[in-house]
Amino acid sequence: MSSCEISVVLRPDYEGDPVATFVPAARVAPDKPFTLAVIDNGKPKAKQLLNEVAARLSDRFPIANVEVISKASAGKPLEADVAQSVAARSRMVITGLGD
Amino acid sequence: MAEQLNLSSSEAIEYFFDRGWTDGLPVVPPTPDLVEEFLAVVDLEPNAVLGSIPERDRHLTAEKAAINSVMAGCRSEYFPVVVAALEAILDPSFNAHAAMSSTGGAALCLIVSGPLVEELSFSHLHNALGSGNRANASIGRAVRLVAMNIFGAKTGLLDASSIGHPGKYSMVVAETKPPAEWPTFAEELGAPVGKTSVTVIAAEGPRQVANHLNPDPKGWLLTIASAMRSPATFTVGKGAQVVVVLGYEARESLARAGWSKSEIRTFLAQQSRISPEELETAGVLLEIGSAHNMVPGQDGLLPSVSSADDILLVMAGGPGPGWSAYMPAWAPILHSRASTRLVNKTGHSETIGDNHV
Repeated sequence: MSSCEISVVLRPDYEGDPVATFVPAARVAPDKPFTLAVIDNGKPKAKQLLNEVAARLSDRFPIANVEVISKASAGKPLEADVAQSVAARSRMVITGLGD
Repeated sequence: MAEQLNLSSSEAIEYFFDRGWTDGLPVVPPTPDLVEEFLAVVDLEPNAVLGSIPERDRHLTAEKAAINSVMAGCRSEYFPVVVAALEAILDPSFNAHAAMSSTGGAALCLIVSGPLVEELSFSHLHNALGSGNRANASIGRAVRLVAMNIFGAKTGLLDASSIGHPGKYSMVVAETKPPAEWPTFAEELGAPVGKTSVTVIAAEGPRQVANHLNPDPKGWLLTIASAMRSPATFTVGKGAQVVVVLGYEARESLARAGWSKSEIRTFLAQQSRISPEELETAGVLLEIGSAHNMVPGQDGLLPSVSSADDILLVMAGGPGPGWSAYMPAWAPILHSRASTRLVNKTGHSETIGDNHV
């Protein structure tokens, strides 16, 4: 086959359904004391950074207590049951910390 | 089924570059007849699922694995090895999501041990970790292309490697026959006679270890241990799995001197321990209060490998003055473990033991 001949080649990348779009929940300013959960990914100084963020948020919101949840590995997601439990008892969660 | 694109061969090569579907080198255009030939070798349906990465909401089919293997330059008879490697990578214990995305820049290193090393003409003596052999180069490349094209492991997307290393083109260690006194790597893993194992480990680049003059084989191990405890390696002081490739003179002299592989692993694990002072002298601060708590053991030292059994001891390299090599995993085992599959000439690969080494 010459290099100019029309041929058929197959697409090599992922062709599954794109991730569905979603509408985020409306933002509502908390009006009574609530629990803030922070998820420490286990990297050095993550806990200190998150506690500082929590302290600053306490100046702006009626945060009754701060709960820190530490992951065993930064490379693995929080276990589903732990995530559900945290969501159930917290009004606000900070997650998604990188390096 | 994969979308069909009407392109000439030369157009396809440039089109694939434009779409970001290559590793920076030209690819073999994946025509339907070639892809069909690969699938026929393993007798898998195009939509057979080889595994998934749940965090990325993506799965890999046999057809997409075959397309990327054609692109990488594989021969169709290599495809069972690619299938085994990909199924090992997609084992949850390997944690492909983290291994493919970390700033640590790991390569997907394959260790092939067993009769297929000779049957498929892998390079396992001179230049065993180098270039110039089709099986070594294209099988490792196929795995990397799948990581890029199916799972998004690309710069600017989900591969955050700060530096990376050349093993991300291809990184395959094919084990040569060990000295008569020793079992092969596959045999140590429990592979039945006649079966070939493929182990994957997310690895940093190889360090070449030289010892040209010492007549005592113990000296060779001390030199390897000194490379394993370099404070510049991220996992030193924390403990990780590592690959130690014993070159020709090292393996022959150690076996002749009566060392067993188990004794070598125990010796290396012990001799590669490092003091907090050595790390601090090199400017490395100890991690305390993190997932990698670096608290010394009773000997006052910290581990470079998580245990003696976590040293993957492999034989490769041809005769010449005293060269061996060492590759550490990119992260401690709490993040990722090496994973192994046995190659089946048709169908899916097989698990072995608990899949781990």
